[in-house]
Amino acid sequence: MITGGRSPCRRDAERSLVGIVMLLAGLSGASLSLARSGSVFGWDAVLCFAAGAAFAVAHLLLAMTRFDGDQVIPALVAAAAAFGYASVLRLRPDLALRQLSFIWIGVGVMVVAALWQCKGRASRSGMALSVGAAALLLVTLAFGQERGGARSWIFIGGMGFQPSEFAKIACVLAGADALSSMPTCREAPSQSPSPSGAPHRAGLGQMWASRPVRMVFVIWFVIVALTVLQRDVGTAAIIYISCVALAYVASGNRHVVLGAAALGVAGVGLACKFFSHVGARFAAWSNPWADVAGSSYQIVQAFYALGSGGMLGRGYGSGSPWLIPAAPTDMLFAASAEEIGLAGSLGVIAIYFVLVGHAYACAMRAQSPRQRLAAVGAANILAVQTFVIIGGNLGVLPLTGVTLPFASYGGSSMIASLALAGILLGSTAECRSVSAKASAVAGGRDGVDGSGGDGS
Amino acid sequence: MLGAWMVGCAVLALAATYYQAVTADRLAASPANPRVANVEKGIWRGSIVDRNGEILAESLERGLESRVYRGPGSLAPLVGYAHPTLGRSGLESAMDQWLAGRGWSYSRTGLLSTISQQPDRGYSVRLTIDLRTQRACEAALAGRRGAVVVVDAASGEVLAAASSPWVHQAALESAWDTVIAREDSPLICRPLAGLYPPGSTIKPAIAGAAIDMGLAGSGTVYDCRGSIRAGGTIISDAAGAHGSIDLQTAIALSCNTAFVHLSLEAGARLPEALAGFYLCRSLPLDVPTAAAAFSSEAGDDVLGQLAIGQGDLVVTPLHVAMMAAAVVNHGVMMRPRLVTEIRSASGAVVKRSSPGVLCVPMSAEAARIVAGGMRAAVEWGTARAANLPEYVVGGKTGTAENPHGAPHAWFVGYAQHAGRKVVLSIIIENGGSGGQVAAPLAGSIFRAVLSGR
Repeated sequence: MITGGRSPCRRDAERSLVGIVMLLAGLSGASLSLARSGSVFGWDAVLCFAAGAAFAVAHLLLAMTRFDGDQVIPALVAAAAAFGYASVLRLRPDLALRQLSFIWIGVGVMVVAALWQCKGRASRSGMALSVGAAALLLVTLAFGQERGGARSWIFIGGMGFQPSEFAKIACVLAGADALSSMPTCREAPSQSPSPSGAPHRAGLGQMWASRPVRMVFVIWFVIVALTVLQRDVGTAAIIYISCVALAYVASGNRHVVLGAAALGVAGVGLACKFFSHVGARFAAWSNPWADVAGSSYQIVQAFYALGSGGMLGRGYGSGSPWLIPAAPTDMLFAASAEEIGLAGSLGVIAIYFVLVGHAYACAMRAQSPRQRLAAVGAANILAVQTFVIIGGNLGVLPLTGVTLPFASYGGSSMIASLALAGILLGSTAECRSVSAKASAVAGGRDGVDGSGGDGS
Repeated sequence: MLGAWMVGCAVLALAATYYQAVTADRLAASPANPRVANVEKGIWRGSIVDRNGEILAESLERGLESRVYRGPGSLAPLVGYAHPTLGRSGLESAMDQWLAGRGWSYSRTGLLSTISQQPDRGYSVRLTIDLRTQRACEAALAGRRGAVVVVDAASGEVLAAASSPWVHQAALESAWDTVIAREDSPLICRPLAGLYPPGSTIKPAIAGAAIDMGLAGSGTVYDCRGSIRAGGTIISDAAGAHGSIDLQTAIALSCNTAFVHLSLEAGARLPEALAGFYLCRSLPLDVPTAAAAFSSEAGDDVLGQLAIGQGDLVVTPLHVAMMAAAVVNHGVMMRPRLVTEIRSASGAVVKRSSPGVLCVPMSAEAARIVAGGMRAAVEWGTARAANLPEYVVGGKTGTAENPHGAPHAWFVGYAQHAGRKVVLSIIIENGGSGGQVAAPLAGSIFRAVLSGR
């Protein structure tokens, strides 16, 4: 794992990887430009390169601030964003400049979040943020506007945003704060990956006995319930599953998962009964070919796009990906698959696979329980959201109106995803405030299982 | 947590592979895929021409709206239609890949298709159909319900496939609902897709099979007493007892008693032998054909009905013609062919079909004897009305009982002239006696076909 190196502040690995991503971003822009205007060095190439350049700036900022966190995560996030930007640019050139500005703002937020999280400034702020997010969701419910069946938008002076995107971050931070304060979690920092999880397993009663944990359970429930009431079931499911997984990692208690699964199934059943669009989505998923012109029009168009792409794709600019409704946001994966083919879409899946997998691996080596849980929580959100939307595009899951992190068009989504990436990144850094105490523990452990062998 | 994520990604990768590799071709070429229709709009669809290059269907500009059909009406059910809302049928459907210019695997080419650019003109399809022969068949049908197929025995080329009644393609759009509701099914291509009981036209095949089993030959004689018991039913001859007759005479006089006798003697071997005539499958052709069918049971009742082409045996007029073609082609059934070649817009031949053997249902010796019997039928037997003094004509009539009214009038036969062997089968639905109704029409078609060269 590339976490150390001779001089951690120079971030050599990150520089190389981000450089490669920038090169690839420029190349995809060039091929798009070639297909559209006949010239390799058109505006498309410049815009794609500019999207990649945001991450180069992020690298310089991180190196300047002597940030010593993981170096692979920024490069993988950059790869996902570069893929997404090329696809959005291809689908909607009119949105290209907006999306570019979202990426630049988001990257700035990512760097700030990483430094903030690494210096421990974010600790104890989770609950306050969550309460704020819940209040914002309540406001949205009262005064928000409806887009695509979900009443999840607030418009301020023409600019709209989705508070539920930011509620995800609040939930992760609040969960990390509260669950890391449990005695079981505090006693055994960074040891949960050991196969014998028995000694530090927390019972449900034990968890409920802790006041912060009780509070966070309540706020999670409130946020999920408000998101459901906004009829944004996809986002609600993402928050719910991610938080349950976080509670499981923190407690090591399987009953948490089983109980939550039962509750989740009951919740989905109720949602199907009370929200007609949820039931329709389920029907379209279980038999997409029954109502091709109606409720399953979108998913069937996605199948045609996937099939038309075949193995190698039809090439940038040669397909008709706009035939799928909501192509630049919800259906980005299927829309791009027509032109990049199976080879490309497996590559996209691989980017997210390595990103989340690496994030979990980093979380296991985190310096403090709070950092570990924050990293796990952020990775959970990214993992579940990626699975829900790619799975929805492929007909594996019912289609929901959520975005592909870092890739889909959308300001709230892009900034929130990059903020999560920042929290993830910050959690992998050595926590200066506690490093004196933690380094002894961590160092000893690294020696035992050899996972820190890069320090030779 | 990592484990769950790995499983999740594996599921996603498998699903992507399923849609982008396993079912990709089907999805990409599906008529419901809007890309297909979009591509179609930009394509100048290829034309369909007869063997001499006369145009049957052509497009005046890009897209399907400008499609015009110039062929005779009796060919309309075979040529079919390509219409923006009604879809496609017949050759327009079966040859769609070529006509629309995506003859080679369209979806798998991916990057290659981007580089090489799709052609904007479709390929043209040249048929084996000869318009002059087709018109002669259409004239013979004269508006009656029925079908005629003319085949060249040595090459398997289908020279004519007339279907009646018909609706011209140009009239379809406005009259769709009434056309669909019509009880005489004018959209069905009767020569290739109509299934009828063959009646006595099956007898040459039974005779060939019996000879190859050693049950009959040029020297064997059967004593016809006018009727015979097959299981629980008694099958008789309308003309009474034929007395002592040989096999060729039995064919010439269409003696039911003799053929039921042979069928009962062959027993379970008969369904097997008939399967050798491709009778339990559909004939391979460039357009879908209906599959002949009969029960493979070997009870005496079933065998008795099989011998006279009744019971549950049904065949297409094309199949009847192909069986006769095997008789005159020394026992060899050639693969029937409808499309001779595919040409690109620049005129280059992309694909050309060549004669091929489909199956060998009888020996050359059996074929010679059966052909002699069919010749006798035309010279002095039941098919006298088809005789033409200037050509060597052989044939077999059929009068097939059916549940829809009067019997179907059948004739199947061959005419030889200057080395050509032309085989014809004709059916007039509920027309009555094959010898009186179908045979004279066959004679007129043979004359029109052979006198032209």
